[in-house]
Amino acid sequence: MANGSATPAVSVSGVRKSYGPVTAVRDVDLRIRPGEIVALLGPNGAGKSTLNEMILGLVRPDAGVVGVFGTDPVTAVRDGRVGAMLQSGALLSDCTVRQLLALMRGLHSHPLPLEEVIERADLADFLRTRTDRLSGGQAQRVRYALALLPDPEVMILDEPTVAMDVELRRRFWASMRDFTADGRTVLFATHYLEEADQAADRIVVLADGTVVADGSGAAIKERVSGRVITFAADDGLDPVRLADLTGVLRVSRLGGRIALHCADSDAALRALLTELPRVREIEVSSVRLEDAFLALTSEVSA
Amino acid sequence: MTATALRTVLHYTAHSTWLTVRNVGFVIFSFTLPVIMYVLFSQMFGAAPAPSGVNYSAVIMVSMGSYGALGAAMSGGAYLVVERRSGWFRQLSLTALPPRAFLWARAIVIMVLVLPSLVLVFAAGFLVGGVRAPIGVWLASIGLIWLGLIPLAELGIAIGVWVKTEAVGGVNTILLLVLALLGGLWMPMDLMPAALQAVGRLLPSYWVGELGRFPFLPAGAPFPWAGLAVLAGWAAVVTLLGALGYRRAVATSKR
Repeated sequence: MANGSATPAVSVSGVRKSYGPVTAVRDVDLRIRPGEIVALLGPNGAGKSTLNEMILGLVRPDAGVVGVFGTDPVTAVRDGRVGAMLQSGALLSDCTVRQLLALMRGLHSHPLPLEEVIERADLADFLRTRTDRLSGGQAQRVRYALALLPDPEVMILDEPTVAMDVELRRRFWASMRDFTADGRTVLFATHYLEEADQAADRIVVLADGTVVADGSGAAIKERVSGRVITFAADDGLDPVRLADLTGVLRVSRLGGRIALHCADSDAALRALLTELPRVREIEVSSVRLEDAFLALTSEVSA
Repeated sequence: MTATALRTVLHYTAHSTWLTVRNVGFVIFSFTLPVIMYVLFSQMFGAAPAPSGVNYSAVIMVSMGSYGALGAAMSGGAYLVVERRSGWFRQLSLTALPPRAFLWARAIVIMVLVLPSLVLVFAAGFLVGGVRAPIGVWLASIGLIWLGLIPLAELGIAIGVWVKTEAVGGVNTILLLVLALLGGLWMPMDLMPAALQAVGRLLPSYWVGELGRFPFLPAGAPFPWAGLAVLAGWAAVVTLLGALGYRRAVATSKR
C-alpha cells in the first residue's frame, strides 16, 4: 500500500472481449484511482457485466490488459484485495446464512470479523434462515456480506441494489458510504442514472461495449438527460441548417415529424423560433435513458 | 501451495464435510443402504464357501462395502453440479482458495464421506455375517479399498463439472450400475462371459474389490499389482478431466 497513491486501483487498457460473433467490450480504457467511487452506467447488454468479470479475473480479455493495484486480477483476488457482488449470483444451498458466511470467511486471507460483516450488511434477523428461503432483498444483503468478508480495498458491485426496495436501497448505500469512508475504492454497475448520480463521484457511461462518456455526475446528467424538440416536417426545412442551431446535437426524422436532439433545449427552442418562426406542432420531451445512451454513442462515432 | 491456500483447503474440507453429513438424504442413501444390502445378500448366499477358499461372507462384505463406497464417492462428486449450475463456482473463485486446490478439497471431502459406509458394512460383516479375521486384515482391507476409491472420487468430480444438471442423476446411476456389475461387485466375475470379464478387468471398480479381498486371501496369494497400475491410470485421466471441466465451468457458468 506504500505506493497506493501512484498505482491505480483498477486499470483497464485496450480491453476487448467477444462471445462468438457478439463483441461485448471493445477497446475500453479505464483508470480508477484509489478511493474513487465510480458508477458504470449503461443499458442492458452494454458490456458492464463482462467488464466487471474481467476486472475480477473471472473472464480473460481477448486483447488488452487489466490490472488491479498493479497486479493481475487473479492475484489481487487471492490476496483478498477485491470484494465482489456478482449479478444475481447464486448462494450455496442446503445451509443457513450463518453457515454460509462461516464457510466463506475461512476462504479469505485476511477476513473481517463475522460479527462486523453481519452488522454492516444487516443480517442479524435471518442468520438462521436457509439460503434458499431468502427474499430477493435478503439474498442481496447476503451477497453484499460476501463482498465485505475479504476486507477488500476495492469493491466491484454488479447491479448491487437490483432486488431492493427504496428503503433497502437507501440503507445499502448508507452502509457502503460508511464502509468506504476510509478510502476504499468502489466500482458499481447500474442502469439507473439517479443511483449513479447519488452514489458515485464519477460516472462512466458504457454503451455497446465502449466508454461513451466519463465525468462527474452533474456533467453526465446534463448530457444524458437531454431533451428532444419535435415538430411537423413541412416543406423547405433544411436538416443541415437545423443541426447548426444552438443547443442541438443532431437531427432525425420520424415519419411526418422532425426531431432535434438537444443538449440545451431552451436555447435550441429560442434559436429555432428565431430562425424558423413558422414551425408548428412543437413538442418538447425528455429523452428516455436508452435513447440518451444511443445519442452519446453516435456522438462518439461522429 | 502457500500457507493460506493450505488453510483454505482445510477449512473448505471441514466445513463441506460437516454440511454434507447434516444432509439426511445423503446419510440414508450413502451410509445405510449398503449395510441393508449387505445384510440381505449375506443372509442369502453367505453360507457357501467361495471357490478361492475364502469365507463367502467376507467376499460379499468387501464387495458391498466397495459398492456402497463407490456410490458415495460418485454422488459426492456429482453434488458439484449443484454448485456449478447455481453459479456458486464464481463466488468460490473470488476467494483465496485456488481452483486446483478446490478440486483437491472436494476430493478430500469425498474420501472422508466414503469411510462411514465402508466401516458400517464391515461392522455388519463382523456382527451379522460372522466374518472373523485378525484386526490387521480388516484394517488392510479397508485401507486398500479406500486407496482404490481415489480415481472414483475424481470420476464423480469429473461428472459433476462436465455433465448437464438434468443428466447427472442418470449418468451417475448408469455408470454406477456398469461399474458394479462388470466390476464384479454384485456377482463374481467368474460367472460372466470372457469378453465381459476382459472389459471388467479394465474398470477401477474391479480392482477396488480385488484390493479389498486380498488381505482375506490365504497367505502366498499374489498381490494385484496390475490393479494399482489400472487405478493410477484412471486417476490420472479423470483428474485431468476434472481440472479441465472446472476451468470451463468457471468461465461459462451463467450469471
